[in-house]
Amino acid sequence: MALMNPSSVTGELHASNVDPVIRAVSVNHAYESNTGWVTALRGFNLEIQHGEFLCVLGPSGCGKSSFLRMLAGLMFPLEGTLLVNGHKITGPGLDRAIVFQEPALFPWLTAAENVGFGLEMAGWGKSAVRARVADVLSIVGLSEAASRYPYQLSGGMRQRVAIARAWALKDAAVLLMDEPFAAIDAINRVSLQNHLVRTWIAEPRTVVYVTHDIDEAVFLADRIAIMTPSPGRVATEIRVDFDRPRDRAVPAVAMLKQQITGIMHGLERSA
Amino acid sequence: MTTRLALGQQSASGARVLHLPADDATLDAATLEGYSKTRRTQARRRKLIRGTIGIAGLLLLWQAMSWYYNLALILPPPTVVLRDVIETLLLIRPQPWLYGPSIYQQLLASFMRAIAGFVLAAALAIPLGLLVGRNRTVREYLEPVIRLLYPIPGIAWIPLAILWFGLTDKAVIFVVFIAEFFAMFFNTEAGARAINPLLMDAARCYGATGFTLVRRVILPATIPYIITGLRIALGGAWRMIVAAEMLAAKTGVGFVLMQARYQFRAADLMMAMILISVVGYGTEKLIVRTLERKTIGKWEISQ
Repeated sequence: MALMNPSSVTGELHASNVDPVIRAVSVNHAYESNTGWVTALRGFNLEIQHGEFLCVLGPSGCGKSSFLRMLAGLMFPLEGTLLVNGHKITGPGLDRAIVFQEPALFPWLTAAENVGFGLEMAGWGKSAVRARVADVLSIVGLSEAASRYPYQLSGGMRQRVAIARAWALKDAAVLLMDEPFAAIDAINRVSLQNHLVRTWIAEPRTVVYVTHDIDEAVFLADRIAIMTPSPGRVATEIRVDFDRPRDRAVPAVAMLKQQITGIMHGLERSA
Repeated sequence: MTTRLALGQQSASGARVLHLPADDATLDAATLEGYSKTRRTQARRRKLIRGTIGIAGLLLLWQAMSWYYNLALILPPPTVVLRDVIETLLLIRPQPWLYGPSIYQQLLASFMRAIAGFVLAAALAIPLGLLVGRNRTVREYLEPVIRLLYPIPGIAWIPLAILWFGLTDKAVIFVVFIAEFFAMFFNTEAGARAINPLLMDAARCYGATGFTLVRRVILPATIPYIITGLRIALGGAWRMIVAAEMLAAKTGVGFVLMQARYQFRAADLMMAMILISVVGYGTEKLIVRTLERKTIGKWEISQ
């Protein structure tokens, strides 16, 4: 692992690669509240390479979720450029798959139907959808739950179905994950993180994962983009080179966590 | 004491001791299913007994009033009315039938009109409710019109309906349509507006747009509200049919009711009222409950 400055990331990680999957250039955003305009993002720059698991780490209210919603096409920045595979984002699309903080499953569809929803919308044939759904459900370990409705699943299982729904979109350039385990109790969170790593190993994808949890970022990410408190921008980036699945108890991991904690406290103080 | 303690046993000394199951006799699925079955049976029996007592109380009060104030002519006692109901239904009335076609034809005529008005109202109100609930442009155009029409009661449309359609089925169906449109429209609209924004985000992110979005997400998400609207409107349609038929028809239960008043036959009048109650209750139970079981019962969601 090494501290590095953002501009050097592209060259070092993927010297041979062409364009980044996602490129955010000078993104500024503000919204109007009762008390006037609030600046959410200022001078936000970030690039995400193909195949990379990137964690955007920042304190609450730093604008990291806004950034993810912009990538999803659910909101738009006031200023700046946001590109997916070189194209400007004009709205939601099946080239990006998203997992929200809550499962957001359709209660009237079974787990399998929820997972297949995006594929159906993408125009896949029935048998192709069925095969892909079966594959993805077995990757996330929920084959037995295929025909159950969301209310018949535990909170953790629901979130795994939501992850499977995103993973199912094979042709999506990037998976967007917005603090998917933040609402889950600590014990289940750890097991869901393990599940996520297993899923990622089984079928690696480009992932942008937003979180405020340092442990989670160190456990999951290839690279961590640490954001400043509001108004948010990427202050520094850290590469995490440990092999997966990672051991949470290894001293080097603990040291990295401490280092990140120090950086975040520093940012907090200077804000 | 022993009968009260279904799960307990009485020891030889007479003291109550709780029955402790052996280690292998845990609370297995079959035992628990047995418990919940017992509970369901008990609840059903309790409701039946209490409901019967309520109805019996009303009949008793009715009988007492009729007898005490000597009102047999305008408030015939329940014994007379219930006999009239049975004799009419079995077509063995000793008194002449003064109201045209048989009671079954009259009920059927009313029922068909009510259903026709109800279906027409649903066919317009549900799509319009979804549209107004989800689309700001449509909402801003239509909301004032609908809000201004809403305060006009259904019966106020009867004279105009007679003017337009004469004393025909069309007039009655039109009145039912107008009267029941609003219950379904407002419920559907409220439901469409109340959809969890996160579900809409998910639907859009996973590629649902236009009519697919309506059919696959907006409609099912609104179903609990739509069913509430359907239930209110179905009851309302049956009530409105009687009012409309009293003024604008030559057949139907409303017509029978009005004729019985002209003939001064209070027992027939009340017989018609009881049949209105029974048919209305049965219809609600059959149509709405079936719909509920097939949708929100299966998904365990509610409003």
